[in-house]
Amino acid sequence: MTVFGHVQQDDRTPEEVTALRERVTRELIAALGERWVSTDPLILDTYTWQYVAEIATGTNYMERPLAVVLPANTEEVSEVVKICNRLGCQYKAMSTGFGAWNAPSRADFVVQIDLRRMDRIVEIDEKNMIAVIEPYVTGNQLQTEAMKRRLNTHIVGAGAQASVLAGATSMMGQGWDGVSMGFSDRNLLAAEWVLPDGRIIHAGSPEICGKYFSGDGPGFSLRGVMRGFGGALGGLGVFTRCAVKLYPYHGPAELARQGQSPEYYVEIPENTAAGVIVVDDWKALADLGYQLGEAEICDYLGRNAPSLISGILTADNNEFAGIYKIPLLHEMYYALVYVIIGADSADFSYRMKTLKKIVKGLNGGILYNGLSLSKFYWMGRMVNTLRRRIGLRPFLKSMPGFLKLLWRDVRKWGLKGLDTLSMLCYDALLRSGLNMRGVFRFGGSFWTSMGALVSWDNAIRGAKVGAQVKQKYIDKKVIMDDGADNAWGGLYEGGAYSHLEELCCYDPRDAECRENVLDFIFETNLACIETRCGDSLNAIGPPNHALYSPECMNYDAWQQKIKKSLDEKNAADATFYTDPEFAKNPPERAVQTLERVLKNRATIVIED
Amino acid sequence: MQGHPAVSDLVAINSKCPRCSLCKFPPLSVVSSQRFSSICPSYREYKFHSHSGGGRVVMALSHEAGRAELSPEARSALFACALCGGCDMACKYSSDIEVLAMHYAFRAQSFEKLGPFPAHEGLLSGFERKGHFLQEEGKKSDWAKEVGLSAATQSENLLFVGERYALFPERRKSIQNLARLLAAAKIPFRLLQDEEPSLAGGLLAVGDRKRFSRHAMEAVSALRKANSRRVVFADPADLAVFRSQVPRSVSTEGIESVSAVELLLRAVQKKKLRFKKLPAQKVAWHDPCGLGRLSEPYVAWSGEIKKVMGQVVIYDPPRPVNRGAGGCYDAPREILRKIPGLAPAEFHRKREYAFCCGGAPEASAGNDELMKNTAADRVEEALDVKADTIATACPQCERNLSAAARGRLQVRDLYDIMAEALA
Repeated sequence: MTVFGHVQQDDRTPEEVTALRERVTRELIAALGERWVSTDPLILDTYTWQYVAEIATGTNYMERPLAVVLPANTEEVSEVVKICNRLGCQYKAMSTGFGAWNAPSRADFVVQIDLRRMDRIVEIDEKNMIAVIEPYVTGNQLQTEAMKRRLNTHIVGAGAQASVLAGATSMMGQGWDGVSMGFSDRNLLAAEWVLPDGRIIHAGSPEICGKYFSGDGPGFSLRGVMRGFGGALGGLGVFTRCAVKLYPYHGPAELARQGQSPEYYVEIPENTAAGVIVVDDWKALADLGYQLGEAEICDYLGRNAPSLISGILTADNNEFAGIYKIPLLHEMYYALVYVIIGADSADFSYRMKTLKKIVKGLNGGILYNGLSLSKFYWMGRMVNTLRRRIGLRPFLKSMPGFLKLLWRDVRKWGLKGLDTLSMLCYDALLRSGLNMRGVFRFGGSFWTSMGALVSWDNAIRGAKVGAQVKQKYIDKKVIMDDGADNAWGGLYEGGAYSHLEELCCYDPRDAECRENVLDFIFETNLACIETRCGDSLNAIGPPNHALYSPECMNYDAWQQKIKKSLDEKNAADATFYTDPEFAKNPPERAVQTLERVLKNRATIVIED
Repeated sequence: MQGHPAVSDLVAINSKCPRCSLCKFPPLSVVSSQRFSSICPSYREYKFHSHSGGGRVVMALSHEAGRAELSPEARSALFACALCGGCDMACKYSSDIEVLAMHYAFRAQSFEKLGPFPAHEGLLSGFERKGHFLQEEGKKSDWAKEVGLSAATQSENLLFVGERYALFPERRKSIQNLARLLAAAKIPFRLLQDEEPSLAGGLLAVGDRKRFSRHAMEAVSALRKANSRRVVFADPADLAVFRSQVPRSVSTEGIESVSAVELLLRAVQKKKLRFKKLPAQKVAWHDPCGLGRLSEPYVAWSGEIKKVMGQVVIYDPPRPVNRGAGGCYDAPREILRKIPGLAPAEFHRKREYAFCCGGAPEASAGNDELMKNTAADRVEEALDVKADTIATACPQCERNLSAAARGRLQVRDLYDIMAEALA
């Protein structure tokens, strides 16, 4: 049973479950063919093992589906949905399927629709900078093909291996490139939607002319209904096709890569800079974000905390534990990572001049690639900025480890080794989205907190609040001690808004860890409301709606109305979207967690 | 990790699988075509998550936890895999999860508890009779007798031919050409002919670890008796088994292993082999899994898993992790570059993230569909990069790819190309 949904009494006998499975399977096979339907328990279990399942259910597994099906097209999806409606069971669709919200919440009652076979880039319209895609097209795949046409696409923080459509239609979808490409909701154009009852509709322009150029007309716009702000996480039917905006791209179609796993060296092309900008404190970091956003010179811009930076610099945890001791690295708190891709040398020169002017004004330093005197000048400024903050003694103490690290890379790559961090930033920001080395590797998993889409100042405020809550759990040794502040995020659309998530790395195999992480999530969600930090990134599911909705015009009541009007039979498993029964009948684990958290709150000091 | 780990030995490490799907794709920054962006032949073919690297890890974990039985359908999913290690390599770019080791461990557990997988029964009875998994009959020495080769009785190099080069009729010429190249390079070698032991890597694919270990011990004993300093492997599949699997059963210390391709490169570099011009053609090197990512040597580890900084998992002492980097990738490319007339082409998926050819029947339980479609995808990829010829040095790869090429391009053994170009 998941902590996100109400207690569902299952008084069905095993015979009734078997009979339902047989009935449903018979019809599914008739619709899709035997090859694309499975009811084997072990095969079904591969769909229950999910990221953060241990938070949702207290085990590594979500609930086992009734069956799993792999439809080939929209008509087959519609057919599956109609079967579920007709036979009185539920369904849950997934694209690339990364996260507990992709899996069923009720055992032996939900048909898992795996959209793996729908993996076509239907069209890339170069002139109008639009791509029409199916659910299993990943960010990496779309970007690979877009780059050949000098175009680029937004990649979500969940990683370039994740579905573009899922982010655009059903999730939030922030990412590194937000400063120049927005986030998933903002990039969604038109969509093809199999409604909860199986009807197929086209939202936006395809309804009128068959072309996917607009989600808000000339056909009807359903953006607010179908996804709202955070997406319905599969609780409102299935999206089978959509269009997303593409953006200009001035880099090479392919990255030039040398070396071998896990140590690659990526050649940063001409008119491109990547690396880290370091300033003195939170205030300077706030100013830096606003000024860089307004200047519109960065293609990628985000904040990485020191543990993430050290994580991506190392191949394994043993190596990480060694280098993270270097004060220069573990104190690199007030830093933004960036990539600048100039259209030509003049454009690049303008952008770099602007960057340097902004950073100089904030008394900071920059790490960028290439071999030039000015590079060493700006690198020196960066090191000096850190020295100023940490003091001379820790600075000197850093030197042996720091030089050893530099020597490691120079020995491997020659002078290019001095660009290792720049190269890793370029590679990770541009192509990977999620860097697994920086979050999953430490303890095995992570979850996130805070992270509302708010002004940059407020995002920073949220990061400070999150860190204070987190320290309590670090002291209990149930999560990784990353210095408490491990806020990751970035700015969007020229810095008009932004987000910083407070990441929390833990061992998903450890029962004490996962219960404490659940506490941490509840506590940061409470703190978000109390300190007016906005609606947390993981304010998903009814327990969180119960906290947030009264503060936000009772949005959950609207979600319930939408759900009811579109899905009369409650055929789409909407546990992570909205659940009218939750408040009446919450699971004991959710109640206990809240009680535990309320009894022992972290002290939060806000310096407003 | 020491020896052949059981599923239970791998639970702790593999339970870290976050289900991110990185095991399904090459490392993301090297993907250069959506069409050829799969690293896993099985997931490409069958599409259920259970047929991916991570999916099979979860099947093993779920089974170990007692949640479900290994039904015939699940067993089919477990065995419908070429064991190419693509998933393992892709995952380990950023993790240390032992994906491929779990595949082997779960197969072994399945064999131990349920006996041979039905599709393997024929293969196993063939093995019982002939000592190898091939359909072909004949003697391992036939190819040498055919050309009247009498190799030295003592030499520091022992040429390990392997069953496939010796018995695949279409490859006899290739092994004869290898012998010719070694002679031309004045590299003496000895052969064990019909006494050459079988490394029987297929037994591991089938899940029969006990019998594999017996064969491994016999093979190592035979190699030691041969008293050669170095074993030169003609077939990369044997090289991979010898380096990464045999030492799990018996120590191979003191026996140097080298691929024939690497040895030939040394000869080319020392100008012991010179080449004349061949007709102009674009040649793409297909990295056999056995020569590439699977040929990294096994290193035993025993130690403690600890947590530092609260929840950061470390190994004391550090645990060596095979990530595919130690394979032989440059040698064949350099040889091809040295042959006038040949222009190199590169597959989208190459080196440690090369796509498999479909593998051997014993790996994928004689699953023709998987083997054929995987090879067809690889041939399409070669055509996409405008190659006229696929070059490789693995009899199984050549057999699979030749069948899929259907005359649209040539599939040639490196030894044949080199022999043709010999000045």
